[in-house]
Amino acid sequence: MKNWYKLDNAAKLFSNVASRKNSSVFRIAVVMQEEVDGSILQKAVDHIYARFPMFFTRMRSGVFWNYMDELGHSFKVVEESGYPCGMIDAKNNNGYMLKILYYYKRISFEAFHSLTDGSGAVEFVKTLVYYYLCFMGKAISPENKILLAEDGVSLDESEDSYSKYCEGLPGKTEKNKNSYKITGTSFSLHGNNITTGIMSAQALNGLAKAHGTTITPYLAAVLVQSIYQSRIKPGNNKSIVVAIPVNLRNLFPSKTMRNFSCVVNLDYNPAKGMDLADIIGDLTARLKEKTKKQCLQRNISNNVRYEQNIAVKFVPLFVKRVFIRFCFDMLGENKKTITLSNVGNITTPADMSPHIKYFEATLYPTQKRPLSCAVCSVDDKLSINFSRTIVEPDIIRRFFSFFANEAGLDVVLYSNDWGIKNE
Amino acid sequence: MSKCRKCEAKTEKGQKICPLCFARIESNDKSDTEYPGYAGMYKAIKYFTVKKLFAFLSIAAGLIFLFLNFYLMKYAHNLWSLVFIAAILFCWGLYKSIKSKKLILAGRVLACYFLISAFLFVIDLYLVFHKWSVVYVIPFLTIALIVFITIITIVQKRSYKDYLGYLLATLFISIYPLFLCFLSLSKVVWPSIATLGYGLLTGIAFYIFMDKDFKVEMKKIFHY
Ligand SMILES: [Zn+2]
Repeated sequence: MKNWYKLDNAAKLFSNVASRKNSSVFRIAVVMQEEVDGSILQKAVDHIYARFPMFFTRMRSGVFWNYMDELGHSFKVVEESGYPCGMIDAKNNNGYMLKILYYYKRISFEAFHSLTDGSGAVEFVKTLVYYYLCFMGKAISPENKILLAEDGVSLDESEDSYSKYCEGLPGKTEKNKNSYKITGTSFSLHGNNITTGIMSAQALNGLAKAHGTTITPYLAAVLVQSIYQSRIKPGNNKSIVVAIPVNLRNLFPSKTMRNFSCVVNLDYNPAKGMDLADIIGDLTARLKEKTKKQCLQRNISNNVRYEQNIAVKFVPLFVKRVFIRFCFDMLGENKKTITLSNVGNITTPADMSPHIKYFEATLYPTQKRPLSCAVCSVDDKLSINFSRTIVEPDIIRRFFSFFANEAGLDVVLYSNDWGIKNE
Repeated sequence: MSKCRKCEAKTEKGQKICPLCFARIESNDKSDTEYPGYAGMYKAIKYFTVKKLFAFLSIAAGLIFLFLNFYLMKYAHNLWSLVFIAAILFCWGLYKSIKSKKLILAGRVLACYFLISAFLFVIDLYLVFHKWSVVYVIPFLTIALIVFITIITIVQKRSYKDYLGYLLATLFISIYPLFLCFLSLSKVVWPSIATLGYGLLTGIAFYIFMDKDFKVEMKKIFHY
């Protein structure tokens, strides 16, 4: 068994730009129907530990690149006490870059983004919850929808798919457009406020279909409109840019559990008119264009070619780090207004459904983008999770009011009240 | 499900504050989606700490020394205050590195090594620069560092991977005294060459004795 992993393209980026206020930690959580038993959860983790060797690793420093090394000592689940998606300090976490937390009815999996992306995390959480329920004495048929501990690890699951599918000519990098930045009052204590809205996935899908589109561009359009209505003054010609992570496993036959997604920027200039139907049409067309296989292939090559450059390879990491941070700020962060990550519909075996209330996906906000949005659904319950480091809820209020009042959907809200209850 | 009286948003049963308008919602239920309370994290913020007091005193002392130095320039024509300020910075640096939560023992020792050598260099520079720091003290300090880190790397069997990186860094550092000697145009170079030699021998010894493990770890550290 291979016991160490080179970082993939995305992992290299995240490991070099992460900081306390840009944690690069995301969360996939499950709200169960009953209170979670920590000792049973621990048992489930111990059972699947060997099935996911690429997750239970630690980051070590190398001269040219860091790498992930297997740890092999026990992993402890912890009762949640801090705010979601906070920085994971490996030293205080037994060396690990992930956390498995529980609190009342919620089981949360938090991972440093260098380890994996949303799809990898979802597979892990499904397996975790499956064994948790099994050890709780529930009879559940896996229906081929769960990666089982008994299956054994396949090498494909830890491959670096970026390098594997990187071919073809790199395209031009997009010009740096002047994008609108969300700003606001920071909380007196840095932390993430999570506000979740639950709605019917079918009803939302119906709304999107009525506009001839799918859920992701539809939500992006409502988001653009909400930002415009609550923030932008007339005469401001900055574009609103929604960054959308795209799961590349849908286009390439990869089975990796590590990172394999890339980000597509959808920009909309308010000068084009703020009619929702127009925004939807525009964003749908743009997303379709940018997620064509050829276009995504170019996107990957663009990112990968830098690290494969011989001259770059042999520059010590601390020098590269300076450049990576600079490029991340200038080419990544400065171009975006908000990230909207749709993890999609999570398919679970029928026997699991009665035990699960909601699935939640939560994305970390960053210093320049203090508001982030992540979406996922299980059965008919779709959850939209906003995380923010600013007090102002105006954009979120607009967004959910649109669905509750104008679209006529039933939206049920809840929050962790960070910065609101204690201030 | 409850409803906010102010903005009419529907909220999960047990949610006590409306997430959209912050109005209170009367409820005695516990929400299924309950998060932990964060009051403890707010209580943990301290406005007065001994560390903050020392930070203030250090800055005050530095400014006072600087002022006195310039004010008394006509009696003593040197910049003695800068040495005091260097000493204050040195103490803070030592405190930070020893208390560091990020670094393991080897890292803390390495940080102290750099601080001590820099501080000695400053003092040497202030005392008409006889070059005793670069010629003798820093090379022997470097050898002591290599010996120390070699020992902890061998003793800490369980986490020897953590220390290996530091050991390598230390071996690279054995070139540093020689480099300093050239920079300061010193004619006495044997202590620096001895240091370099010692570093080289330590590296060769590790390569021979640690065998396979060591080579695998080298491959990881130097992969590109
Ligand atoms: Zn309200």
